[in-house]
Amino acid sequence: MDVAIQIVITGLTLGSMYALASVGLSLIYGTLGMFNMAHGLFMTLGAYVAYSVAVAFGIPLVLGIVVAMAAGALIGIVTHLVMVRFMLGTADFGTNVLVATAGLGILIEDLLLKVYGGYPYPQPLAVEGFTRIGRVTVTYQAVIIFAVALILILGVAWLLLKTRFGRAIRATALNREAAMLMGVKADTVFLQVMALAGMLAGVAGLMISTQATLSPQMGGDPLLKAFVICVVAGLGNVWGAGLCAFGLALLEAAIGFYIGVRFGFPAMLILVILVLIWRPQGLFGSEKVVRL
Amino acid sequence: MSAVLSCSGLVSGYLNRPVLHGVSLDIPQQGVMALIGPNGHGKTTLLRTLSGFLTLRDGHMSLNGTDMNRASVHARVESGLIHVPQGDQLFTEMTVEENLLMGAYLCVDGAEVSNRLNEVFALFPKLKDRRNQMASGLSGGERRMVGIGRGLMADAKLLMLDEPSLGLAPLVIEQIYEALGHLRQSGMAFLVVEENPSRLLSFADSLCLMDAGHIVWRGTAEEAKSSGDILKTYLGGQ
Repeated sequence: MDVAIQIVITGLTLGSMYALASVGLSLIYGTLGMFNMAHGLFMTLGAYVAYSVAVAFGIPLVLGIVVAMAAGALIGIVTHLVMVRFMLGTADFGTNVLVATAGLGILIEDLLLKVYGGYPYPQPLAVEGFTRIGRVTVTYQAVIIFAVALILILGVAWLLLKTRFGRAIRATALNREAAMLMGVKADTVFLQVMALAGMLAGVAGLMISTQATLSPQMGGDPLLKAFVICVVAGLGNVWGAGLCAFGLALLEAAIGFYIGVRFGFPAMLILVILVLIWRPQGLFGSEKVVRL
Repeated sequence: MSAVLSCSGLVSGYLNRPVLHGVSLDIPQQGVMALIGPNGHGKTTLLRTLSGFLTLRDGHMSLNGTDMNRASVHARVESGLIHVPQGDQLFTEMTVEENLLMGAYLCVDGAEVSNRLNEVFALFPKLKDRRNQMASGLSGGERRMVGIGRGLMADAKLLMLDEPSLGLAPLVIEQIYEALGHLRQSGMAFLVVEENPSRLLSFADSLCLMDAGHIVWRGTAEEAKSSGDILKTYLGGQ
């Protein structure tokens, strides 16, 4: 029983971080049709900016979350304005933007390395303390991570499903030209999506850094896992990405516990291969991929 | 009567292939103008040029006297130039109601939006029953109704319909045209594009015949019927 509780708690904590990372990635793919290879660095940047502000002003975690969100949104907006905007609608957009965002990711990573150095700083915003469920230790930080992810993801779901703003995003993702014929400015929608996804990535980065340390490379692993999650869910399927994030995280936690932590990720990859053989379009993907 | 949309000498098309070679067209403030012609002769290209997806290489167009040559798609929708595209282009993973609400995207007045929604439901009662159903699960006729209804949700000065009868069973075409018949009484301006003129001959106030990127003939439906040679030459006869 304790083992089960432990696995669920580890899985939910991991899943919360994966979900924050992959929902944004999926939203960008679904709307713009682009793989954002810089998404991992959006996370890293969120973590570092929150760290810097926390060190300088000693802010509480709540403000740190806001700062990480703002930093992520800002880098998303800048990426769109200086790069993606000019590439939209060009031939081979998908490939070009993949290479370009990968380049941007390397650039940000090197800049962070230059500014902060490679030293693995601890995240000062992490909350100390724990409670127990039975004999299982639950850190307050894990509870916070889960609560923040839940609130933000439900918030994004509400935005997408219930508001005029969200309807325009979904319409643009489903049929860009038709949305434009309704008077939607596709460019503005893309900018908003980049900001929204960047915001989620920034928080994801902050949360990941509270579980380990800050380092310029910290975004690489969660980016890879977010990609895996998006592919398993079906590219561009935002709801599927959220669900798969928790599913795969629980699997990773279970395998980590029963077989060994280092087998968690290989097991995820094997599962991906099996899923893609069985359903090449992903678990929640439709037969016809939403290519725009 | 003054024109809601005047075009003169429109030249446009795709990268190395101009499709329109100088199209001049005045669309009256109200009533139905039909644009007919065989496939691949520029009817859809003309609509895509008018709605701003294709850049004008030459010529001039104005909506109610306002120059529209370089206006964005958004600006044209905002000034009431509404294009219901060929093949519906619905938002398939959205409900019927959400699709219709997207049509009124630029209207932020909630009461006005629900008024328009009720008008569309009055015109197509079937859509009211299906309002919470995904658009992907609709029949061809119902999709067409959503497509047209979505266009009606906008504050249109000119509603351009690209082949409203395309791919529908004759009985369903009847229903669609019956609804369009109700609409024409609203006093709005319509530009209806069809490949097959048989229905439009009795429906439109005026007709334009398009061939190889030119408008080769225009006149009233009566004139078209009496000079049957024209239609026979271009469309294989009636």
